[in-house]
Amino acid sequence: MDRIQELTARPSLYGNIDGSQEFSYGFFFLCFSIWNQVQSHIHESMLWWNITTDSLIVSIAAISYFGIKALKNRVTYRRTGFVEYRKQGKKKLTVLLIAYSLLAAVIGAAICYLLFRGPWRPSSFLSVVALIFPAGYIRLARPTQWKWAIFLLMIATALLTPALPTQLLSAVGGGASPLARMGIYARDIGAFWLASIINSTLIMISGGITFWLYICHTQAPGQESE
Amino acid sequence: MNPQMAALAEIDRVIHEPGRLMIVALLSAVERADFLYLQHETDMNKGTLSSHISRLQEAGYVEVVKTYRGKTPQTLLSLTPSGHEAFEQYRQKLKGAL
Repeated sequence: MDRIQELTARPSLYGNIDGSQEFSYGFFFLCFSIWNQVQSHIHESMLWWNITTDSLIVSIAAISYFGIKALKNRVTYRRTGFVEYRKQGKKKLTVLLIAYSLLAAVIGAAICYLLFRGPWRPSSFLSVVALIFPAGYIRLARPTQWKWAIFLLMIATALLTPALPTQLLSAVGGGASPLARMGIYARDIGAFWLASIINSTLIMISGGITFWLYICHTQAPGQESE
Repeated sequence: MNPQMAALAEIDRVIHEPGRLMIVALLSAVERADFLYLQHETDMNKGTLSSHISRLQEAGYVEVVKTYRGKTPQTLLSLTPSGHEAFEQYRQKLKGAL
């Protein structure tokens, strides 16, 4: 019975067999984090401020989406086959994943601050919200042993980054961020963006390794003749 | 005959065969998949996979569509509604029997 359950779960893992999901998530969040980090250091009158974050997000998402599509068409479907997922299942999985990641991040942040940081500040949550990265990554890490090392590195990044010297974190956080104007300390903003940049990079590296292993261990068969 | 044995006797033999069970279980989780994917996941050779698919097609559990992806021929497979129902019943009966 467990074996049947395992088999029905396999197609959902197939989406990342080539590491493309990891790579695109990592790419998206890395661009987003770097953009926000840069935005925290530039004056509102500069041209960059006028490029809205929304249009940037749409552009990065489009690059990720079409990049994955091209990769799947040219490499994955030719080597290990094509799968079309049920739309309903896909939507349900995304909602569940977001809800689960948020919940894990909130619980992790609360535990971390209760244990290590003493009194709770409204902005405290922000600096360890980067726990959302390992919480989302665990689904991809579960079936592969070496990915657990990346998962642990991501947890360590999310938990240890807020413990870095305040001066360094404040310098990273900057003072021009919209978050700073909302009264959130620059050090918490800095911890968040720094952890986000490191964790996004780790996800991208993990995607790169997965893709390399996939290319090494698979090859395109001859034309189907069944 | 006790109820557990009766449940075992009623199990769908078309699905119960390990090779076909793998195919049906994989297809039950997707909208459709191609022959190459099933071959990769089940590790069966083309001939064995084809014969299992033919058996499932005869039973009305699997629908097969031959098409092209670019210039490459592609065989797309999906589980029919009766295939989904049969697989669900199979799982229930197996669960009851164990």
